[in-house]
Amino acid sequence: MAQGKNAWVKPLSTAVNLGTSIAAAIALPTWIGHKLDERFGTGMLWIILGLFFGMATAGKMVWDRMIKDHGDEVPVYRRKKTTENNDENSPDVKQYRDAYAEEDKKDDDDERSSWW
Amino acid sequence: MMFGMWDSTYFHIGPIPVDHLVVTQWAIVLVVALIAFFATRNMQTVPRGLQNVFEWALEWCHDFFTQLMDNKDVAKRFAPLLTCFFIFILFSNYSGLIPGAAVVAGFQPPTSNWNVTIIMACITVFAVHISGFQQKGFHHLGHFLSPTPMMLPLNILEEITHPLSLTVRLFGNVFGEEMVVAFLLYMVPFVIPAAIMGLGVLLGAIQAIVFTILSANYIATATNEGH
Repeated sequence: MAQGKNAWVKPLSTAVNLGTSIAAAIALPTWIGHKLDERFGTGMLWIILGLFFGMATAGKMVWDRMIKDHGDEVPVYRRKKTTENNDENSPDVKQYRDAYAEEDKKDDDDERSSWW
Repeated sequence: MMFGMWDSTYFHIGPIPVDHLVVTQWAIVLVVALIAFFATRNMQTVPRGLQNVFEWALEWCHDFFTQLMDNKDVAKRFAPLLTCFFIFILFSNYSGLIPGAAVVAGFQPPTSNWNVTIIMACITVFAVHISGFQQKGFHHLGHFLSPTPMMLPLNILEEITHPLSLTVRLFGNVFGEEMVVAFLLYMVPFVIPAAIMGLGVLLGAIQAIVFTILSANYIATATNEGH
C-alpha cells in the first residue's frame, strides 16, 4: 500500500485506469467481432466471442491490479487474534504480527500525537 | 470530417500540410520554452524567483516519479519524458480556457483531437518496450506468456488496450468538456459556462496527472524485476 504524502496518487490512477481500461478491453474485441460478422455473415457469433474474450481480458486486468496492490496482505482467513492462540511463536501468529506491526505502530503514533 | 478531427490546413511546408493543431502545439512549445529560458537565464547557486519555482517543480517531479516507479535509475531516465507529458498536456488542456478558443477558426486545444493523444500514447508504448528490452533483454517478451502460455491472446489484447485507453480517456474528457462549454455558450451565455470551465480547470489537471501516472506505471511494470 502506498505511503507518504502522495499516497492518493496510486488509488486515483487505479480508479481512473480501471474504468476506461475495462471499457476499452471489452469494446475493442466486440467491435472487431462485429466487423468479422459483417465480413463473413456469421450472424452474432464473432460479436459474442469477442465480448467474452474482452470480459476475460478485463477480469485479468482487474485481478493483476488487485494482486499488485494487495498481494502482500495477510488473507482474512489466515488472520488470527493473539488472544485466541496461546502460542505466540506459531507461524500464523508471527505472520499476522509481522504484517501488521508497522500499521499498529503508526496507529499508536497517531493516537499519541492526538493527545496534544 | 471524422468526429474529433477538423481539417483546417494553414499552409504547406513542401508537400507536408501544416494544420491548426500543429500551429497551436508550436505555440504551446514556444510558451514553455520562453518560460524555461527566462527561468534559467541567470542561474544562481541559491535560487530565487522563477529559478526557485522551476527547481521546486523539477524536484517534485523527480520525487513523484521515483515513488511511482520504485526504481531510481528508471525514474531518473524517464522523468524528463514524463515531465514533458505532464507539462504539455496541462498547457494543452488549459489552452481551451483562453478567450477565443473553439470560437476563433482553428484555435482549439490540441488534446481535444485524438490524433494528438494517440501519438502521445504511442510514445508511451515505445518507451515501455524500449525500457523493457533495455532492462531485461529478450526476457521482456516473457511477460506475454505469463502466468501461462495460454494467456498469450489476453496479454496481447491488454497491451493494445493500454494505449487505446490512454488515447480515448484524454481525448474524451477534453473534447467533451469543450463541447459542453460550446453548447452552453449558445444556450446560456452567462455564469453557467464559467462554472463548467471552472470544472474544466480541475479536470484538465487531473487528466494530465492521470496520463502521466499511467505512463509511469506501464514503464515501471515493464522494468520491474519481478514482472
